[in-house]
Amino acid sequence: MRKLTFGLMFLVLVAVASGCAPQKKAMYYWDGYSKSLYEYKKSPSDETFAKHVESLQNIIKYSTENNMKVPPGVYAEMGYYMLVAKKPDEATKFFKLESQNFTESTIFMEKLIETAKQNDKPKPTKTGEAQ
Amino acid sequence: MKKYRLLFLLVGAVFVISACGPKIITKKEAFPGMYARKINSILVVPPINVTTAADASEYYSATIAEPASFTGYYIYPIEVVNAVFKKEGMADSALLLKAPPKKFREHFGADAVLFITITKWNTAYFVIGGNVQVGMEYRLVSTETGEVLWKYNENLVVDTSGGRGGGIAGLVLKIVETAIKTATTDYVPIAHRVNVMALSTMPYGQYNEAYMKDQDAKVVNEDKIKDQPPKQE
Repeated sequence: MRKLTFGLMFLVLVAVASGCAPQKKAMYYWDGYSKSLYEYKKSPSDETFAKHVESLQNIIKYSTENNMKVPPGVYAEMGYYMLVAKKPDEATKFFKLESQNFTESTIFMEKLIETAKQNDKPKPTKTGEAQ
Repeated sequence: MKKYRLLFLLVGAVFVISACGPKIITKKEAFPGMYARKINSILVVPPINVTTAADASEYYSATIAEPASFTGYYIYPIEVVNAVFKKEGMADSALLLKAPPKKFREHFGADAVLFITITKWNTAYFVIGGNVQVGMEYRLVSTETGEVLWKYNENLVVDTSGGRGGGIAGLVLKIVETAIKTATTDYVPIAHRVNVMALSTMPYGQYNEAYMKDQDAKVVNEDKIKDQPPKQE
């Protein structure tokens, strides 16, 4: 009898607890983003970098498959890595995606697209950016 | 009868606790400017690190994108923004604090800038225990008017003391356990939680379902929005 009472109490508790939790759909899907980025920062290597890029790709894949908005900055970060890897066309593609996903980013993305274009041309000489 | 007495005591205790606790106010009371301005985008600049842990800024940056996005504002790509500032020689953003806020609107299109100061990032050992502490100060500044729209001071102390044991042997074991636990406790999940705790007091932005519906949310600890004693400002 005692066991039964306990069981019942437990059930009630679970019901109450789950009732309190918000049942709304998650806003964004982030996969293992924070962890993979931290691992990459802690010990930068091809391997940790590849893991982090994989996180970004997973985020994009999962979000688009589930009709969720890709979280802010994810396309842009992919674009930035493409820029560093000297793939300006790929970079531009991602910067445009960020801009479409969040129009707030447009001013910044246009600047990055401009940088990508300049990287595309053969560099004459290395000059410091004049402000 | 005994049962009732216990219940009574418990209720009494709850009352006492709630009466003595810090004053909790609503989001609207704490941050009226945020509802008036209706901002859409936030630029998180590289953190200002006032601790002695040199790598804190770099690691901390990995913990903010995710919780910040859930506030419902557009958050500029943190890694990309950091790289841009680094290129401009502004990696540690004490310099950015001095820049006119309007500049951030011009260069990024941002409605507000979030300045974060890392105030604690350390481990502490005492005779038979230890802990890991992470503390942050947040200030969100309008790029239009320069006013502070939201601010919060939050910190978390995680106890890393070893298990209890009796006698000298138990004590030694406890010290060793504490040392191991303290050394291996990761700052990152703690920093992540500090971010979540602080950001939950920020009025939500347009991409969050609760946008403009959270004015009456009683979640702001009044003690934590008070300015800290001035340091260099």
